[in-house]
Amino acid sequence: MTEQSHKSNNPSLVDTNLRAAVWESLTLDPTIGVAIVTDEARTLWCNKRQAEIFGGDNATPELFNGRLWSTYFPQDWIEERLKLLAEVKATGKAIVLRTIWQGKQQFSQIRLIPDREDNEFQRFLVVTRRQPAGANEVANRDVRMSEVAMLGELNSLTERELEVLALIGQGLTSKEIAALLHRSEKTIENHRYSLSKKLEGASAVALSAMAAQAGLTMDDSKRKRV
Amino acid sequence: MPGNSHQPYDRNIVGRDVREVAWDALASDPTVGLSIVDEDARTLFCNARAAEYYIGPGATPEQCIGFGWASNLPAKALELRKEILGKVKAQNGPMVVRTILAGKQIYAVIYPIPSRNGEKVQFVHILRSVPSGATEYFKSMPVIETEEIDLGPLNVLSPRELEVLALVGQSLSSKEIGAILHRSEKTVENHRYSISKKLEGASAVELAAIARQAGLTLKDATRRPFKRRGPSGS
Repeated sequence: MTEQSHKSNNPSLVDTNLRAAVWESLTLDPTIGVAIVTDEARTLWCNKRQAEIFGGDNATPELFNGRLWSTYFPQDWIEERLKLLAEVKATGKAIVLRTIWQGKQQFSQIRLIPDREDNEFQRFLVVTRRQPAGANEVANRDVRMSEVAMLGELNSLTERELEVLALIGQGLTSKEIAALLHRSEKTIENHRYSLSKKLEGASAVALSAMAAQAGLTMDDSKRKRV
Repeated sequence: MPGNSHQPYDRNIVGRDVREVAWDALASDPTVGLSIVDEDARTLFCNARAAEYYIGPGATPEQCIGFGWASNLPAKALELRKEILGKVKAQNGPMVVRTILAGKQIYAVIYPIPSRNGEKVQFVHILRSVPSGATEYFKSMPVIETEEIDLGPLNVLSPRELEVLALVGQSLSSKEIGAILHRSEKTVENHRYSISKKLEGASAVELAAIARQAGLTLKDATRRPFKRRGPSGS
């Protein structure tokens, strides 16, 4: 569905009451993070879920509201996002960004909030949802891949181990993984053993669950860790 | 607004303009289903993701908008939905419904939209797939579980096989599953073999992923599965 069609199809449907109800449902939703941010790298406002996604389970909106990102976020992460904000501002088109944060895959939609040109900053709405691999297919949409990743508990793994884990997540056997990575089956078995040891003795099924939560791909092994 | 000083939260930040953008964001989000439904369980609006949840993969909003849910849900399921809409209206607050659609566990949060001058109340539905392990987000809200579930590709499994699959999804071994279901390890192994065969030779790891996406529980094995028409209307 294009953005234009839902507006023109239903001019009377989307009224003030509805918008207020949708806004309330969006910001109270337990799985959806909502933030209003500016191109001066500041969060003006966020809901509870957004605070938890970025700051951990006990984080509250007060930690982020009104603060500059540099208080909490790594420089590489900030710079990447500022570039995207500039693009959204220039084109007026929303962007969906995929990031691994705290070891979990998440999708953020970044959208322009119309501001007057003489405003000292430009506002954007950011809607973020954690989504493991396989839950919905978003691959056919235009999704940007973040080049920085916060791997959380997977941060103890080497590049090679991350590759192996990504393939375990796809349900491949050691033999199949060995063929793909041009290594012997024995070498892959060693990687699996080492993986499992680093991740507190996780079983093959538990390892695949972690890979799915992170939505881990081969490309992710080479991303910049923050 | 220079410096690193803390800016206090200003209520004016969330004005009408922000709400308009929020509507656009939700209506186009690839991971969240959004629909507006009236008291008669008729879909007034839905986005692409919601259409796929309601009808099946590949469905478009045009196939949902203007249609009643009766065309797509068994009578008992429809009855329950109307009952829930009635409760949401009466308490003027949100409720959560858990179901399985096309083999995926779906949580729908239903919010009332205040009526304008005596018109019928409408409802915002926000739907999203929630694999097992992520359901704790809803622990603060009472969740209604539907008895009618659409198991999608899992429809080929027997109730016993669904039980075994639910426990495979919890990373249990055949021995542990046997103990829980009062069957021998060998019997459980046979079930696993049969499940894997029915699901195109899925490996243990793939079976666990399938079970997690469906959020499959032992209870689901005895629920009433239903099939939907699918996007082609056939």
